Amino acid sequence: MNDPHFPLLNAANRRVFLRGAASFLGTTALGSLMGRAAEAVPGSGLHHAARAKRVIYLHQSGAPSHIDLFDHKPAMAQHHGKELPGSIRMGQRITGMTSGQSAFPVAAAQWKFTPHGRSGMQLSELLPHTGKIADQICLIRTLHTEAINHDPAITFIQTGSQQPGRPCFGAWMSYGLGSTNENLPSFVVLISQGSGNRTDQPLFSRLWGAGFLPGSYQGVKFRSQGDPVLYLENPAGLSREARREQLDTLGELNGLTSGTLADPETATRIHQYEMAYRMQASVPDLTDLSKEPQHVLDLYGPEVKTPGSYAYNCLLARRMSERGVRFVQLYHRGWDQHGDLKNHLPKQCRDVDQPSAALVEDLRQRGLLEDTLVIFAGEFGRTAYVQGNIANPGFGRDHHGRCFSGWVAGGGFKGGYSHGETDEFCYNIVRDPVHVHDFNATLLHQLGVDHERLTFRFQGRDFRLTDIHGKLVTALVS
Amino acid sequence: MRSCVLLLLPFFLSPVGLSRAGGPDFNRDVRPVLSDKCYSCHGPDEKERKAKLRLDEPGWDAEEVLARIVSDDPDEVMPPPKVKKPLSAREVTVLQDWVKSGAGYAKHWAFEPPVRPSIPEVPAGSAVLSDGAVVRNAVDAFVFARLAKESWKARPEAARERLLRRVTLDLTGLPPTVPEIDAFLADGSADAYEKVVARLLESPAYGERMALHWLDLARYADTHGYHLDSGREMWPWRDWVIAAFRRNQPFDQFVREQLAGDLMPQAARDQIVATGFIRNNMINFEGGAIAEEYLNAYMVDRVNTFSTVFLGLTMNCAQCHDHKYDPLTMRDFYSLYAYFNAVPERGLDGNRGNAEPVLSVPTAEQEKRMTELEQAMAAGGRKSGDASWTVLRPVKAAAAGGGTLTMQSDGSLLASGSHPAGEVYTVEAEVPAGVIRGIRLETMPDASLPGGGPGRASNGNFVLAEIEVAGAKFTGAQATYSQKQYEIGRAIDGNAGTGWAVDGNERHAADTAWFACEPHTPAGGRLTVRLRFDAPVVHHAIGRFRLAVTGDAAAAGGDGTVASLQQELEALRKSFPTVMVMRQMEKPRDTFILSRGQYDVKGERVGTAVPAVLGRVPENGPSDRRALAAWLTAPEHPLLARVTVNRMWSLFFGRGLVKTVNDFGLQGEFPSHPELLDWLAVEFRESGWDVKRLVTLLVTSHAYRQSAAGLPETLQKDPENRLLARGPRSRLPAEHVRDNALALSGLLHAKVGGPSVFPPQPEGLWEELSKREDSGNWTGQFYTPSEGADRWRRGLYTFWKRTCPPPSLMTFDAPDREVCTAERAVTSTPLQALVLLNDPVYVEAARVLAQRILREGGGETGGRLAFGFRLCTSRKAGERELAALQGLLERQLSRFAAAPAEAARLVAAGVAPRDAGVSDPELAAWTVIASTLLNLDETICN
Repeated sequence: MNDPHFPLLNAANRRVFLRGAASFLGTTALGSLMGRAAEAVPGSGLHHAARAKRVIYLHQSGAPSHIDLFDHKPAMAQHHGKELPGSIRMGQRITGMTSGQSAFPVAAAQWKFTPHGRSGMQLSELLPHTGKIADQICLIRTLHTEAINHDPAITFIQTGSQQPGRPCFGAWMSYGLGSTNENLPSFVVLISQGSGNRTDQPLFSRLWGAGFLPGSYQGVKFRSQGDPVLYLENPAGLSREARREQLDTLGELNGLTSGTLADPETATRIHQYEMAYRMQASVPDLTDLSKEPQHVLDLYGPEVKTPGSYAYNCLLARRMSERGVRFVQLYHRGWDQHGDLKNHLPKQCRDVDQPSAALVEDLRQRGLLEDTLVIFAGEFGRTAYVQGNIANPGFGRDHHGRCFSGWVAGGGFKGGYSHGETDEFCYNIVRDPVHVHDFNATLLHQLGVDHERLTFRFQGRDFRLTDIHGKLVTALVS
Repeated sequence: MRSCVLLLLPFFLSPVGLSRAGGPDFNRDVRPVLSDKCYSCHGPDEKERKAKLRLDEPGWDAEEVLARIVSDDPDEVMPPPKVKKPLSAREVTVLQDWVKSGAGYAKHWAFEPPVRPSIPEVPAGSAVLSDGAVVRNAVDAFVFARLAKESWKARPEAARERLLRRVTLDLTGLPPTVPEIDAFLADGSADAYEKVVARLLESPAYGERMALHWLDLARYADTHGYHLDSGREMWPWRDWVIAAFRRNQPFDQFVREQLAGDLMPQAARDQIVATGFIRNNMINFEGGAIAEEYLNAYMVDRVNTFSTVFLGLTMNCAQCHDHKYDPLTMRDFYSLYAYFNAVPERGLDGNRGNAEPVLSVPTAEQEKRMTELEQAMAAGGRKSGDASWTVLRPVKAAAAGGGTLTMQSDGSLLASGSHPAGEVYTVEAEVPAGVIRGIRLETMPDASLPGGGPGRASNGNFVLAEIEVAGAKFTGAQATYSQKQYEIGRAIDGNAGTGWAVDGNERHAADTAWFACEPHTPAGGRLTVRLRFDAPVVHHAIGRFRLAVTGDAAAAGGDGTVASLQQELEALRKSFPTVMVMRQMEKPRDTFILSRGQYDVKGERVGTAVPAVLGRVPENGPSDRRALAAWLTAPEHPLLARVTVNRMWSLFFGRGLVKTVNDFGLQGEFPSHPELLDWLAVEFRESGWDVKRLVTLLVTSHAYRQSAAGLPETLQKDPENRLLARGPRSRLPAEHVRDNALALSGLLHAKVGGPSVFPPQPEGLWEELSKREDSGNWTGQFYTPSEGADRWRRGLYTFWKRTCPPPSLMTFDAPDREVCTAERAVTSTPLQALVLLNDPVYVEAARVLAQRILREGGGETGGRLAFGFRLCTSRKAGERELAALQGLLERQLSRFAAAPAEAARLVAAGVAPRDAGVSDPELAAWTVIASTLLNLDETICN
């Protein structure tokens, strides 16, 4: 029988979490960032058998055009340049950027689609490498969201609420499942800048924030300039040996305090310093690519050695997953093609196509794909009608939440499967919708978590990632 | 195993359950179970109610309910398995016992006004006092009486250094200095401690410390939060909060001013600034966003903040449906919303700083200069011949558009009545004999005008398209003030498409214009002046004005200096800081109950009202925010005093008496000491809401002064220290961790208030999240580190960018300030260790602390180590501690002696000056010692 509020925690942890991780037991690292391994008896806290143990979330910030990349509608060519029929738009709300337009002419996909893999999955010519992993990916063409602008939409897909204040997916995972490696954070964030839109959407620390969960569950951002983890390196002039001596003395002094005051927090703190010390070794080992064989580097493409590139981050993500990091969240900016779709979209695809496919393939070759969820999605889709003038080759597409596409590989998701159907304008869903809450519920399910039972009580209410919604979409998984 | 855990769970939730006699108490024992497990289907939310059964009121079939809760049949058992809220065995027992004892109901305790309970007796010989505890005030009587029920003993008073440290850090966020420690140790008087408390309450740092907590509640930040997250200027409000705590403003007034200061009679500027509390919400200007959607988000945030801060209620649940647990309806939610839905703001705003409405808040220096300039200008005007001007007393005044002009006793004309688009005033007056060489137009504010005028536009401004005098030709014009692109010359340029305006919407000031003309002799001794407002901006007539004429050419031209003074004045005014404040719309927006909380699905229209379960505002009084503030601070209000004293308690004791500090509703936890809570609430209210008195009461109690070293039994049975069988102890809040290190090293720059500062942080943190080619178009996009002493200001002055808050502070559990936070978690992580060891701020502090130890710690190594240890922990080091430090020092000395280049690199940390006469290896070794001291558990705990 599971406790309804803290289903994934054992007794000792539960007590701690009742008060935002102010631990009192101080045995190992309660309430700590990454000290849960000793506490969570593997598997015992889960609601059901897990198909996946870890997540790599490739978020495409700004929202890629599903029309041009994933949702093949050859018939749309006949409507190119013609007004989007009112029966399709149905007066739905649209953003302030195009609501003043006098016309809403349809623009068909600007690139060719070809079938890939055993299922003949249709993908854009801009994604040749993704085509090669078609048999590994579950392509969902009927994701949808209520949000129509970036801030609320990206906040929604990450936290289950359009307004700030809730924990993000990774924080929920970190809280619910903890880490399997004491020497690395359980939730890491990696950011890269796209080559497409140079005035693209900002990101916010809220997207990897812990909301009302204790701050120790927030994502740890790995950086491409300076220390990969803030303040990881000892100050200039202080060697690792000197630091060891310092920590030994610090531990001794804190031990004396612990003996006098018997505050369990003190014992916890001693442990945290030791973990910090180990992390100082484990992070450089993680980011040292020198031992990666050339054929693996080649898989990820020419940018793989450029810190901060998407390719580099994909490779790091694999190395993190290998080492037990529970949740790796990538953000790649630059997908907000309000204008100049023609130039920007190919650049963005060049950034991400090969590395994303390489990541899936690399994980597969190592036997990790079967219990790793690799997720590729933006926060919404883009409109079938143009933003700007269709006669001008620099036209773009506005935001569209009524349907968009994403894919998941690994973790029990069906490979070589295309899910759901939109209408001939890629505008409305006609079959098998997958709401963002449904999507998150299904992802959680694969991780062994019942989305209705992973809760945290805040202000008298048991909050969940899926709010009060979410249905498991069994068709997506095998 | 798991079911054992479940059985134990309630005891962890409520140490009150440690001992219990007699039948269950409805408020304490029964309602929490009903609320948590039953009310979501059988509670106040009518729409969701199943089987028409409600268990939040009497009148149901007890036998059936009892049978259902123990049923083995999954189709019968309640709660049904699908809601995933099974009753524990203990909860079943509680319900059974309750039904057996008559199933009596009681109103939820927190909705009844607190009544002062009698103070329990704790006889002098009680066992609870046998370890040396003393009943110092009522707090102790309640706490010890409760401990006695467990047969636990209170701990003796903490060692004096530890006590001084605790209270100094708790009241100021800064550590005691060595002289302060010495003075306290030397003071043998009975009230030595009370004197310390009084001293601390008078220090500026006390105001800063109390403000920090309020900033969390008020979601204070220096940026707007959504999307591009541009910069805002709310620090004048933050400084107002610090000042309010320092001068010990009565808490009820503190609340009233923040809610309705702008609506108070003759509101002082500070009272208007106070309303910035309501404007601290996030705001958005994302291209493509829908204004109405965000206006709604702002109001929702305000209702949620208001409810959490002042009511301790989770009103947010009623945004989309009637509350599942508390008797709060959607109508209640939107009626509160209506109080705030009356500020003239745009839904999308703030791309370049503060969003309307704003208030200029010149500094004292700026105000002084402004007065000087205004006096000089007035003198200039007089110099240009005040005596030679003749004020006109109109014989005829007509408003062609349909307004009414009424002559006032000073000869001015006041407009009223309709205010049409194409207004034109024609004024006729008799003039003295002789030629006219100039006309003067004085514009005047008036209480009858929007925002006080001087214009009739809804924002108080005007635009004078043209001034025309039949037969006269203007040659030049000057004014005391002109709005950008509405310069005075535009009123005589013969082009009605341009005009003169004065930023009347912000300034609401009196301005004067002088128009020189070629010599003109009006026919028949009558002058006709036409003031045109028919273009370029309509509905912008002057509200009150006065005309005068002169024949003196020098006077007519005005004084050349007026223009230059005016320029300086204008520049000065532009440099004034502003702050976002509340202002009441003449006609508030309509408020509707929004179906499922969706901004565009409007239901019934509602007016302002307070939650029905908590009373109502008088019908004959105001219905705006003044009513809300008055209702909230009325003596009979059940929540404000309780919620406030509870949060104060949690500040000093680590947890609230009601642990759920933000939820006093049915799902909230029953107080650990209900009588104490009510006693404190009544005491606080009856003291005139005296915050310093309340704080004194708490920190002078023995409960607070106890040793923090707990006994094994109480540590085990009451790990959270809810019953206070030991003194409070906690890691410092994020900002104070930093302040502490700066203070110990001597780097801290103790300046109070002013614009937020940018201490050094790793490069590129903001940019990696939001860099764009057009970033320069917005405020708050680039992090430029402050120079000089601003690098070492207290943490609460660090510029708070919501989408990328200061990383070291976030690592120590600072909230992101996007929404109201009533309580910070206290976590312990390896990242915190990395900050304290390696963040350049702390490395610099360690190096400078090392210098201080070498300078002030005497000439002997042992004495220096002892000095440093005492400085950081406030107590004398033990022998083992000194030996450990000595050993570390020796190892570092030899290590750095062998590697002088490394030593040089380490001591190069930071920009603070380096003391001469200390070698690199010696200073490097001491820097390691200092860093170790700054990292001690005792250094970062109170």
